[in-house]
Amino acid sequence: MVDPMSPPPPPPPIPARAADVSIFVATILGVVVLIGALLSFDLFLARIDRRESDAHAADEYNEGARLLQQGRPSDAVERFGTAASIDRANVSYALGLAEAMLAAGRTTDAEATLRALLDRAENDGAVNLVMAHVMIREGKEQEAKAYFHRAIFGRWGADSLQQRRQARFELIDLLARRNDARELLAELLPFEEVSPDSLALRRRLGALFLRASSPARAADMFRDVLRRDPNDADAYAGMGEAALGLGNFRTAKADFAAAESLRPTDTEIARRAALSDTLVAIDPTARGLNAHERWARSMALVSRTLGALAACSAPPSAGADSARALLAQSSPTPARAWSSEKVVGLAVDLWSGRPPACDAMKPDDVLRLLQLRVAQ
Amino acid sequence: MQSSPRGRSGASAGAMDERISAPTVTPPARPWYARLLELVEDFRRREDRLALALSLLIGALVGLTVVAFILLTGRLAAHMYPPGGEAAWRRIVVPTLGALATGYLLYRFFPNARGSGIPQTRAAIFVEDGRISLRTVLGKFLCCSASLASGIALGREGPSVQIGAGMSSVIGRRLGLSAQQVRWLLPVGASAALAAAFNTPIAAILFSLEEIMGDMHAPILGSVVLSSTTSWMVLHLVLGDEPLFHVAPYHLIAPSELGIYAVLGIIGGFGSVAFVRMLLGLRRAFARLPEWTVWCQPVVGGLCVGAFGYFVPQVLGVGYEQVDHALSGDIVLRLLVLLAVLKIVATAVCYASGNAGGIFGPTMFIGAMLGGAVGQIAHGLLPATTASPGAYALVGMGTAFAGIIRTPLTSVIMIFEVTRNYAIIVPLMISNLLAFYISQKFQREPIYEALSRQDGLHLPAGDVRGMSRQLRVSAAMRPATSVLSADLPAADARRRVGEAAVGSWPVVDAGGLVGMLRAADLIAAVENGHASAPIRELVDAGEAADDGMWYVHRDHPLGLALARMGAAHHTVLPVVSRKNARVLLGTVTLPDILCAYGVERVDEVPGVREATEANTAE
Repeated sequence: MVDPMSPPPPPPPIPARAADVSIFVATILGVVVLIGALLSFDLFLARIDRRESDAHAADEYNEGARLLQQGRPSDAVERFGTAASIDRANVSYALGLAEAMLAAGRTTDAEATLRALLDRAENDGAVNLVMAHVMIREGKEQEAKAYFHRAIFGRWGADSLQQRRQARFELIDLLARRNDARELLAELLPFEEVSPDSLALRRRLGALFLRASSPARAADMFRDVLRRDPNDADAYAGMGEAALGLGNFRTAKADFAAAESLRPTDTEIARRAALSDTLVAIDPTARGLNAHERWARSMALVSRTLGALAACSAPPSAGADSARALLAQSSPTPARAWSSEKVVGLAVDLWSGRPPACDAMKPDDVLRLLQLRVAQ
Repeated sequence: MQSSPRGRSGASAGAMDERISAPTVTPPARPWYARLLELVEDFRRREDRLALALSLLIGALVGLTVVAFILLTGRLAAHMYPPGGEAAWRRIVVPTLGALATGYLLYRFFPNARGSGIPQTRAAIFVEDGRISLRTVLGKFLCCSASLASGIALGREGPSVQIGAGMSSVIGRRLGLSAQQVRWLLPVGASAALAAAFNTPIAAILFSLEEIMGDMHAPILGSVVLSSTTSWMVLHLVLGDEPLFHVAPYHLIAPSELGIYAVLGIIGGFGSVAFVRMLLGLRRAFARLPEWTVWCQPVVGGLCVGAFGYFVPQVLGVGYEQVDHALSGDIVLRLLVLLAVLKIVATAVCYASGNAGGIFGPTMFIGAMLGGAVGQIAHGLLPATTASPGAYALVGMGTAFAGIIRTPLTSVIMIFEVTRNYAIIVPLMISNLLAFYISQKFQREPIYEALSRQDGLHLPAGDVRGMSRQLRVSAAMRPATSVLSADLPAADARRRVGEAAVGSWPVVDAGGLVGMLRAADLIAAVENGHASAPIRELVDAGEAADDGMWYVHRDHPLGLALARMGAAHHTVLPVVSRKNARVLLGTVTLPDILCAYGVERVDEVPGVREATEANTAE
């Protein structure tokens, strides 16, 4: 019998192996503590290391940017290269390197650097923009357009609106240089909806709309400018150009006159004003002309058209023969079988049937604008 | 305990009372530490659990230690070569002083921390029962860090392997594990170290199994994988996901390019042979210098690399930045060739003179430069049908690794792991195998085995280690009781040999085993009038040479013992120590081997009874 009131028996003695087990546990705990200490130490060292290398890379980058500004792209490549190799994750450093390579004429290296960059930042607007520059330098304008589009719709940091607009304008400039009116207009249209506040930008857009063969939109832009600055000679001149494009020669004449009065020393404005005067004087479709005057102007148009076609060695055609026969009659009054309208129609047909070589020769502005007008 | 108060009568009631009133003995509550002891003891007994936990702990600890090693070396280097202070004189003075300081420390305090660390790790596994001291680990860490930071042209991977294996060894012994368990922990630490040092966890696993253990099917595979992965994760936790090398996407431009990769393999193979032979030759020369010069020998390496660095700074240090440039194709042909040659010489001199550091990193450097040079020539001649020089530099790294280190599988996987591109596998294999074949043909012994042998250690070769699950010599060996003294005259020896059926006898002197003497040769010598000649002169000259073909070690497979018996024409082979081939541990006879295989009973084999009796009589 065990007396329940008696004190419990003493615990069994700690076995001999306890010493081993204590060492075992202490060793495991020691290793865990050591891991914690080493982790802290490593993170501390890594942070110092990273801070120093980041500072070094930033110094190299700034020096590279300075050298690039000074027009020493080869030296800049070295500096940007060092910065990029220290901090490979930094897109700006690699981008700087690519820009310096491009400036140094190393387009292949620049392209390779940018392609590597695009692998990890394919939507980066700045990278795509520089790649577009590289493509232009390599003569790959079609690919350049694609990179411009990626830049426009890509990711930008601060001031993204301005950066995107800049990229779009670069694309617009490319398209304008290529005389690609249709695509140019497509790129300009977004600006029609979100019109910029800057008057200079509006003037520029107006000019670009003119190049994109959209004089009505150009006129809107210039009109906006004039609404805010009625003494803007360039805007009047732009309005004049738009009116010429629309075939409103009288309006054009008035606009150029206004521009000339605001800037009388500008020879280009004077030349365009003279052109609009000429057009007003020879336009066969102008209102209020008597039959003789209209006939004479129509015949003059046919003659001018035939002359332009002969200048560009256009092949003989039935229309041209008819026109020559008509001109040979040299009648001051409308012929029996011909009305002024029919003569103008003949001139339009002759012009529209011209070979492409004639366009390459750039016909005189008077004929081009007249034809534009009578074709409307 | 009191009886129940309920009134019952009779015997049954009494019995019941007794039952009821029987004290309910609650076992005394065991104290918490006793329960903890039991739990820990249970944990220790479960080897699988213990291995799992230790793999994780060792992986993390070694990974963090190697990261600290890398970072500290970098910081030391930044102080020794401060930005803006790259004066040319510094490039001579710093490595020389670094070599002097670390040379003295190695000589005075850490003699086992000299050299690479990989042969030492293998020696610890196969000879020392997995023992690497804490002092060696600390010495390796400090001396290698200082040495590499000063610009000595050696690598950090080998030392990391020894540090990792050493930490595993210290932990294992502190935990009271058996010698076998400690031995198995070493590759676990080694793979963790390599995964952190070279940022290639799979290659680290393979290297540990292929080179260090020499057995791709070692039972520690799971632990090695776990520690390598843990270490790699730790590396990325601390240093981020930045790869060690930045390689451009690889493409095989045309099938004809494979021919150029073959040329690269041939050049890499001969380059590897040149490097290994130069290193071993120089090391042999340094070993012949007086003992007192050991502490200052590393200065020769420091001066050599300093002199090279004076003119070509890129040759200093581990050189992974230059490897990165070569991979990007940013180094011109002339510099590539110059760097390859200078690095071969600098690394050979630095290592041979006893500096602390490995050859793993320099191997990569040499390979990248050779590959880059071949690539530049090929790309210059055939720009349309060849890849960029960087691709060749990459394959060159694997090629040099296969040629120098002689681990073809690891070399392929390592480069694949760096590029993560399947397309590189075929050119890599062609190039690596050619380099491996040429290296094997012209330099029979792999470098780490040759280095061990120069140190007097006879470690098992890879092919032997692969036979780990076969019957070993230890299963058939017997004590070497019957030996002949080397100074014994032939006639006396003839009398001692008597009529015993034993065909060959070990001959020993004061220094240990001299060689084996065939009984037939002894009898013939006596009959030919050489009765007074000491039997030392009768021992085969070939046996006196240390070609290792006339003796075996305890861990050799019995099949190898049979093959060596056939080759040496002995029916008895001495079993010697791996630490020193002159220490005779026992003998193994043909009948013993047959018996171990279960072919014969010992007493049924003709001549065995007599031999046994002769031994007993001795």
